[in-house]
Amino acid sequence: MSGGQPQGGNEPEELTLEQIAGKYKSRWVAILVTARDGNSQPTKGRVVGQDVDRFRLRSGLMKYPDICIFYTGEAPYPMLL
Amino acid sequence: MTEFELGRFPSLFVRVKGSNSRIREYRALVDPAYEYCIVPKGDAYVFGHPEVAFQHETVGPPNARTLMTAGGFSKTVVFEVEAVEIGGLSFEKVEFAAIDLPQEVGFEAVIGQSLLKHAVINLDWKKRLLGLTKAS
Amino acid sequence: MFGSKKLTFQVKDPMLVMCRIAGTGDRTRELSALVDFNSTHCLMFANDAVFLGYSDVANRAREWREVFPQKAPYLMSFRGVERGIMVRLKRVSIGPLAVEDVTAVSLEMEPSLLLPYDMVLGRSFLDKFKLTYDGKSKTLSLS
Repeated sequence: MSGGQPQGGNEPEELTLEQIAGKYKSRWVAILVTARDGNSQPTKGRVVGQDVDRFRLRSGLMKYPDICIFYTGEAPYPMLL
Repeated sequence: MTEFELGRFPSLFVRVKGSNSRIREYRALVDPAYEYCIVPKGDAYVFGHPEVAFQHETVGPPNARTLMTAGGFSKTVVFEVEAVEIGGLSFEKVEFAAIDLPQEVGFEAVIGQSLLKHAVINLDWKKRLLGLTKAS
Repeated sequence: MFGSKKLTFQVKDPMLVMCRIAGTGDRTRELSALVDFNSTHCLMFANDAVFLGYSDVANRAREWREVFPQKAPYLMSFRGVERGIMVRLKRVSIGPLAVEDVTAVSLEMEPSLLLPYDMVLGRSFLDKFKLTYDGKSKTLSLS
């Protein structure tokens, strides 16, 4: 599967996933993955979108053919099914 | 076997490739208690399934199925994606249900039985390891 | 943890097994349980918990939380944020594998009775074992 390409504009800086989680606390972020570990898990990326609301984040992502979206925080309470 | 670090919940990054070759990558929850894998409705649209926007409870699009969820019965669009990549493993033609999970949960994708029926999961809480093998 | 080293059994869709719950007295119930390693605690219906002698769950979670906040936690589910009353089950067992003092929650808004299980076996039980699930043969191994 090929990597996604940003569609114009200034290229955001490359950050590790830990740096992204620190910079965008408890937010939904969309990144273009730039590095992966041996298990193909993302380790670095460029943040192209972030929001507290994942539905609002989606509106700016249609143009990306390949994008990674995740939440940088943790569920605040224990989880049940 | 591909081994991943086990966090608070068994989750890992998965790449989902739609039949229109668009790709979305998520930190997905691994949960065999779910019959289908799950992606948000908005991404089902990205994968070429605009029928997710068709909400009629009685009629529904032809690929809508009634699923039993924690919140009761719901009619949900089920569709097939071209491939799912997890680590170095690739699973072709996997069925997904388009469901918007509450965003407080922190996950918007689930890897359920429709993929895990082709896999073996190992969980070792002491060593904090999640192992995944493709069933032969 | 007690019992033999490894147990492999067939699960029914979706991840259902039979398990035995020991109550505070000499009461025991054998329930159809959904194995879910994403649930932090086990989940029980209030009427089963009361039958087994855990009468705390008969309280209103909202009021119980004001008196014992740690016994009426907030929880995340796929329905959103929920409230429940937590009890400590004396003993939970599947076949020869048993764990004592297992936390379980009874939710304020109980799951639908149409769901094909009577309880959820969560991490408060499963954490004690190494777990292997083979999706092809539908077998679950605990060791």
